This record gives sequence, structure tokens and C-alpha cells, in this order.
Amino acid sequence: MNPMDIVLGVIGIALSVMIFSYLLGDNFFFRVALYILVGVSSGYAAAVLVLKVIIPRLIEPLRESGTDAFWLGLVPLALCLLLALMLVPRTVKAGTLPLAFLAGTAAAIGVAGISRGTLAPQLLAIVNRFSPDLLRENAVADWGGIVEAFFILFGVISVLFYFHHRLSRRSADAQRPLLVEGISGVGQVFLGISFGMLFVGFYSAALTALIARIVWLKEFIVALLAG
Amino acid sequence: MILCPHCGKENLPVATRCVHCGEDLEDLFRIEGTDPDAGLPEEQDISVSDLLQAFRQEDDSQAEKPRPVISIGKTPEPAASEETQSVTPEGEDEQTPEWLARIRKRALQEEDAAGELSRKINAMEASRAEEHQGRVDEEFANWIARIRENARRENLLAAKPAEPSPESEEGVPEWLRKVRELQPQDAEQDQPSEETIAGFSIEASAQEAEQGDEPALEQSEPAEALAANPQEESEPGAVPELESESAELVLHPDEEASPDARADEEPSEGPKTPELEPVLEELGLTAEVGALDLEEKPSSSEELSADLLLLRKQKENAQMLMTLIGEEGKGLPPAKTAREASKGWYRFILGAFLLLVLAAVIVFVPEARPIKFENPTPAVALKDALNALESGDTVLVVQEYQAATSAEMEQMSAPVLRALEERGVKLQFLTTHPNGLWLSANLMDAADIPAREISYLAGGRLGVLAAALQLDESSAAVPGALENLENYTLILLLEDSQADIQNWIEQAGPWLKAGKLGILASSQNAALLLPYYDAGQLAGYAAGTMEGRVLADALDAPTAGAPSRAYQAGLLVMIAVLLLGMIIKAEADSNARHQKEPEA
Amino acid sequence: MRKTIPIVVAALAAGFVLAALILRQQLGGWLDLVLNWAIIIASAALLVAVAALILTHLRHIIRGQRGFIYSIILISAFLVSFVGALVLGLDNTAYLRWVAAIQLPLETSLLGLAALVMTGAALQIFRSRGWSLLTISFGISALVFLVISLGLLQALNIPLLTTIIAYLQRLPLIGARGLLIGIGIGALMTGLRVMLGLEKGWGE
Repeated sequence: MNPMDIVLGVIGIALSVMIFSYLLGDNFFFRVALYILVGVSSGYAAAVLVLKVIIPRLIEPLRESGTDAFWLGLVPLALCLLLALMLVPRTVKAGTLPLAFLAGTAAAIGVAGISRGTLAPQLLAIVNRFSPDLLRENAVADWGGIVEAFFILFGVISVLFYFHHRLSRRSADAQRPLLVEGISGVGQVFLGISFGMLFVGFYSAALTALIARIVWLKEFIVALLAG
Repeated sequence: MILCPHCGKENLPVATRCVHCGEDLEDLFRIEGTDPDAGLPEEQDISVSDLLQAFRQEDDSQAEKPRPVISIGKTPEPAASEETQSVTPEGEDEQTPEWLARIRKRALQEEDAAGELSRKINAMEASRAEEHQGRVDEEFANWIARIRENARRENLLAAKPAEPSPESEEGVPEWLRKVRELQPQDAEQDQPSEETIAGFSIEASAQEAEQGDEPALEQSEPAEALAANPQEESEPGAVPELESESAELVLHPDEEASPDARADEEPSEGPKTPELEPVLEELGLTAEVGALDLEEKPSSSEELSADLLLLRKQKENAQMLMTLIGEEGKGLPPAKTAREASKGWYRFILGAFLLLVLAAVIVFVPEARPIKFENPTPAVALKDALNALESGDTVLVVQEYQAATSAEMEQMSAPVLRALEERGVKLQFLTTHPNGLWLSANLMDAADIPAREISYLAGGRLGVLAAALQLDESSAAVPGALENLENYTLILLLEDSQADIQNWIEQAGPWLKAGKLGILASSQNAALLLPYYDAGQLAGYAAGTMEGRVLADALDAPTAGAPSRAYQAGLLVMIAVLLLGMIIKAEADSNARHQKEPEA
Repeated sequence: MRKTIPIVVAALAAGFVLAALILRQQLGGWLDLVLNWAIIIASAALLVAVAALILTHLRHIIRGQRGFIYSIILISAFLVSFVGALVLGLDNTAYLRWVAAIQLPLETSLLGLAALVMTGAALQIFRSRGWSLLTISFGISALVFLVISLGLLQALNIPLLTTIIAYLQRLPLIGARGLLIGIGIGALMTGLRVMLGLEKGWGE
């Protein structure tokens, strides 16, 4: 192993131990490790943004004065300068205009994307299950498909029921009708199943990362001992 | 200041709810014999709505302001404010109350020192507070109405209130006069450090009848709980008027209105001193019951007032108050430290156990052969899509995972990329994260494929939409190396974030033909990818190292030596912990039920 | 007036983007320009956020506030990382190795720590949340999927078992679909409110 690898390896071990020290409670070393992570990642991200976005897309066009790109580049430049004024406490509100522009653009993109990319396909997926072509196999009703279609429809409705009535239950402690309680209960069950899968998924990802750390440590120590 | 019995922190004397922990301060301060209509006319001049309006005006000027709450007996909902102040309507309806003036002055001072950031925060919180204002006001009004309703209900069951005696014409309440009559000498000798409760309220209950020769206690109109003030300073006008939930008022049996209203079934004209003695002895009250000496526990009843009686519950309250006053000035006990310490220990033990198990399995247990089984349908679909790629096809590999999941993603992606590279498929790399620039390089190393340029697509969903919409290569928002997305045979997303997945599905998906998007995802995304695949928006996906391994097997690509035994050991530990958690909870519930049963 | 201008700008930007998405042929070029501007402004906003972070920590150091040592560490790490990239370039192997050597162990360890903490939390779930339909179904579902994730049942290659496992793996579809629809509706309403000026999504 070359010296640089050893140094970086030792740094990696030290940082890992500092993070795992959290098991003993929040402490100085854990916080130091967090602040190092924040510093390095923000510095690197800032450098990428400057080198890959700001300079090529904002600064470079402004060097060619008189061109269309120059005049068009003045608009984002002005908006970026207004954003920069947010750093000064007195001129915080100067950034409202560019942020409003960003918010409006993002909102429109979000609305279009959600409706076309998520809501419509998901709702159609529920409805299309009731298509006669899908519910019939060789002119015989596919009862499995029919049951599944109703099951999915009822399940999604019950989940949405639970969301809606959970909010209304918070505001008033009134007794809800039995039907509403029943449907919300079914929704809770389906949600619980999904949450269980999400929990297992996240735990699996975290476990894989933990195992990877331990394996790396083992391999580093073995390589170090091997010389 | 008074100390909260739950968290031990200081509160204003007239507070009925602790401003720190939100717990009731209970009926520590309740004076019998007070008639809401007598002696304190100012209370009726100020209504709850007026107060709330005054508060709202105050809240407009500063978002963070202690919201004065009329401290009322037992408060069912937590108070909205962080501090509770007593309302002292002393005929100052038209002038600004002193407490309000103090609050405004403090607000001004605070605002000057706040600075811009705090102001912004205050403004944000003010706007949020306004949203809650209406709901809180409504709940507060409902709560007040409920208290009044309860009080009115109890009034119907109670006796008529005592008629104001002639003595009270001087402005001294009846109860205070009687107390002074009882202890004319003690009142002179009251030490300034000693706080005395001006009186106690008494509840009529069937338990009193069980105690034998107890006098009948009668209830009158809702009593007003008064703050504990030293007796010398107590004047009717200075005491805040409060409504209490339970109508409690001590009547002087000599002046009681009607025997029919007594809760006791045994009709008796009134309590006589000798009959009270055993009762009060049991309760542990002294004869000087009008002003209870809180520095010492009440030992035995000597001279007892026929008028003032305490129930067991009130006695407990009095003793608690005694304890609090006794501890006044002492250091506050640390709150919740024991709980945090124990929480840290079990987390350490469980975490260390898991670490040890994993380390032991990695070091000592030999690795098993990969399990051969059929993958779930989405992974099989992805395998088919990948197998359909031929030499010369171009695949856009979008790297959008973080360093944290790089181990898992490299385990899954490296064999697939290697298999595609060997088949002659052209791979082009794109990333939307700054870290992707070096993570993609690591991925190429892990896949053992030649390094190539990695394009950076900035802007998140904005950039993805721009890439999806670009009709030619002259787009300013898209890197030059990136072609029209339709030109790619497959777009393979390497994802660990649901937000990034949805960016591509929502922004690029609608503009592309079906079956263009394939995903290799971290296991945490498996649940939320299923609906998209079911809706036909994805060519297929594989989530997690297990599915990735089976996928690589299906592609005849050798997988990296990922320790599956350690993974299985970790899963087994979690299974055991979950079961243990359920068993512990079930046992705790069972114990609680058994404890309740003997009491019942 | 001052408060109205940002609302108008947001509404105009949103309206233009929606119109351009519908009339791609006519407005496609302008849409690309607006998206480019938005990307530049978004990147600048991120840089301003980073600068605000640095300034805040600088203030901590200058005022000697409690915990200023952490601020020194953060600013030092930031400067080394930022200046190093500007001087050496983003493609420099040594620089990238250094960044990887810091970020990879830290981020991986943090995620690994989550596994350890989750193990502790799993013991407390039922004690803190009690028994309810949600918690019971969550617990049973988690146990079932943990067993499935072991891969041992699939390795038996029993057809009936494989079919059952396939159905179980599809069961979260219902809850996940409900989640996606619910979240989608919420996000849609928020976006519409911003577009119509009913909500100021720029922190005012």
C-alpha cells in the first residue's frame, strides 16, 4: 500500500469511529465529524456549481458583448445579483423577485409533471383494471383479476379515506360514524403494510452500508498487516 | 412564584398550568365561600372575547408574546401561550391593564434587540400563529363554555349559595372574616416567609358520608379559585377572579339554606365541632384550618372550625403545596436526565450487539454461494429489457445516488454495466448530483470498464425537463454531450432517492415512449417503485442487493463478493428485536391490566 | 404594490411555462431559455445559501459564541474543499481522492449508524405508539418482509411458496399507490396555490 492510501485509510477509520461514537450519545467527536462533512460537501458542491453552471452559463455569455447571448444573459445576471443582496440583512427582500420567478417556474413544472407523471397514470392504472379485455380470458370471466381490481380500488380509497379523516379527527374529538371508522381502519392496515416494506427497505440499505464499512475496515487492516 | 409539581420549574402564582411542561397545577389554590357575584364585580366586565381581542392586538405587533390565559381550575387543553398570567381586572376596563402594558413594553424592548433574522422568524411564526389563532380561539371558547356548563350543572345539584352576611358589607369576604375570627393571634404572628392558603374549597361527596359523623357539605355557586397570597395581603380586589370547573364552596353550616341540598343522606342541621374532630383528625388537619401552616404538616386537630372542612384530595393538594413551598429557593431537579441516560444505554447495547454480530459473521463465517431463485416480476422485466439490447445500442446511465449508498449501488450496477459493455452496448454517463462526478468514476472502476466523460445536468427537475424537451443539441440548459433522450435505446437510472426517481418519471417519462426507463434502485425505494411499474411507466426495476445479484446471475455477469451471510445476520437481529419489542409491550399491558383489576 | 410584484412575477412565470409545455412547437425555444435562467438562478440560490451558512459560522467565531470551534472546523473544511477545486480543477485525481476519502466514510458511516439506531428504535416502537391497526399491521408486515428478504424461502423453490411470496411482495402496491396519489394531490394543490398567488412559496 502506498503511503497516501494508508493516510487516507487512517483518516477514513478515524472518521468512521467518530460517527459511531454517537452510540454513546451526542459528543464532541461526532459533531466534529458532522461539521467536517458539511464543510467538505458544501465546498465541493459550491465549486461544482461555480465551475459547471455559473461560469459557463452566466459569465461566459457576458464576455461576448453585443450578441443576443449577452443581452439575454443580463436578465439572469440581474436576478443573481438580487439574490446575492439577500446576504446583507438590510436588503434581504431584494431576493424576493428571483425567488418568486423560481417558485412560479417550479410550481408550473411540478403541476404539469405530477398530473401527467403520477396522478393520471396511477388513477388510470386503477380504472384500467376494470377493462373488459383484462377481466376476461377466453370469454370466461377472470375472477382473480376482478377480485384483484376491486381489492386495489377499495384499498386505495380506504387509504385516501384514512388521510382525509385523520386530519379532520385532529380538529374535533367527535365520534365518527362506524362506516368511516371501518374504512379508515382498512386504510390503516394497507398503509401499515407499505410502511413495513419501507422500513425493511431502508433498514436493508443502512445494513448494507454498515456491512460495507466493516468489510472495508477488515480489508484495510488485512492489507496493512500484509504490508 | 410557585413551582410545578411535575417538572419543578417556576410559574407565576396565579398559573393553573405549568408553562414549561404543560401539566395542570391542579386545584392548589381554591378559596371557598367566594361568590362570583359578590365582591369582584370587575370579572363580569371583561369577557373572554374581549381578552382574546386584546391578545390578538398584542399578537399583531409581535409574534412571540406570552398570551395571557384566564387561569381556570382544571384546564383540559394545553394553554396556547408559553406564559400564563393572571387576569386582574381591577376596574380597569377602560385603561390598559398593567400586565398588558408590561407585555407591550417588553415586546418593544425585545423587538429592538431581535434583529432582522428574529424579525423574519417572528413574522413567519406570526403568520403561522394566525392560522392557529382561529382554531385555538374556537377551542378555547368551547372549553370555557364546557366549564360554565359543568358549573351550572353542579349548581343545580348544589344548595343555594350563602347569603352575604352583614359583615361583608365592609368589603371583607365572609370567608376571610371567619378566618380572622378563628385565628386573630396567628394572623398577627404570620411570618413573611410563610405562605398560607387563604382557604380551601370543599367538595361534597359520598365519601364524606362514609366517614361517619361528618357534617353535610353543601355546594353553592361556582367558587373562584384564588391565588395563594399571604393572608395579610389578601384583599378581594387584588385577587384574580377565576372560574373553576367544579363548583366548590364552603358554607357555614349555621347559615345553610336547606337540608335538602345536602349530599349526605343523613339530615343534620350542620356540622358541630365535636363531630368534626375525628374527621379532621383523620384528614390530619389542625384546628387553625382557615390559614393552614404549610411549613409543618398538620398533626392533629385541636380547635376546628365548624365552617371549614377539607377533603382528602384537598389535603393531598395542601401537602403537595407545602412540599413545593418548602423546596422553594432550592435548586431545580434535573428533568428527564434519567430517561435520556437509560435511552442512551439500551441504544448503545443494541447497536454494539449488532456490530459485534456483523463483525463476527464477516470474519468467521464463510460466504455462501449465491442463492438461485426467480426474481420478482419487475426485476425479470428489467432483465428482459437489458437482454434485448444489442451491440451498437446506446444506453444512458444516469447516476443519481449518494456516497452513502454507493456500496449497495455499485454491487448492483457494476455487474450489469460490465455485461452491457462486453456485449458492445455504448454506455454514456450522466449525473445530476455534484458528487456524481467522482462516484461515477468509482462505479466505472468497480465495473471494470474504461473511464469516460461524465456529463453534469444541473437544476434537478428543471434540467431533466430541459433534457426531455430538447429537440436538437443546441439547448443551453443541457450539456452538449447529451443527445435527445429519444435517441437512447434505454435510460438506466441508478437511484437511491424517491425524489430523483419521481423527477425522471414525471418530467421525462410523459415525453418518452413507454418502456424507456429502467431503474436499479436501493432497497429503500422498492415499495414506491411498484405502483409506477404496475402502471406501465417503467420497463422494469430491481431494488436491493438480493435482486441485483439475481439479476446479474440472469445476465451471466459475475457478481462482486458481497457478504450475504452478514446481511442475513443483520436481518435476523432486526426480526428478533421487533419480536422482543412486541413481547415487552404485551407484557407491560398485561401487568398494567393485572394491577388495575385488584383495584377495581 | 411591493408585495404584489413577486406574486405577479410568479404567476407570469408559471403561466408561461404551462403554456409553453402545451404549445411546444411555438414556444419551445423560449421555454428552453426560461428553463436555463431558472437553472442558473437555482444554482445561484444554492450558492447564496452556502454563503449564508459560512457567514453565520463566521459570526459565531467573531462573537466567540458557544461552539465556535465547530464553526472553525466547518469553515476550514469548506475553504480547503472549495479553493482546492478552483485551483486544482474538478478533474484532478488527487483532489477527487481526497474528497472521496472524507465523504465516503462519513456518509457511509452515517447510514450505517442509522441501522444501529433503527435497531434500538424497533424495540421502542410499540411501547411508544401502542397497539393500533397501523402499528400492528406495520409490525407484521415488517416481520414478513424481513423474512422474505432473507431469501431462504425463495431458495426452497416450492411453487406454492413462490406464488405466495409474489403476492405478498405486491401487497404494498395498494398502500404505496394511495400514498403517491395522496402526496401528488397535496403537491398539486400547493403548486396551484403558488401559481394563483394564494401562497408565497419564496419565504416571504
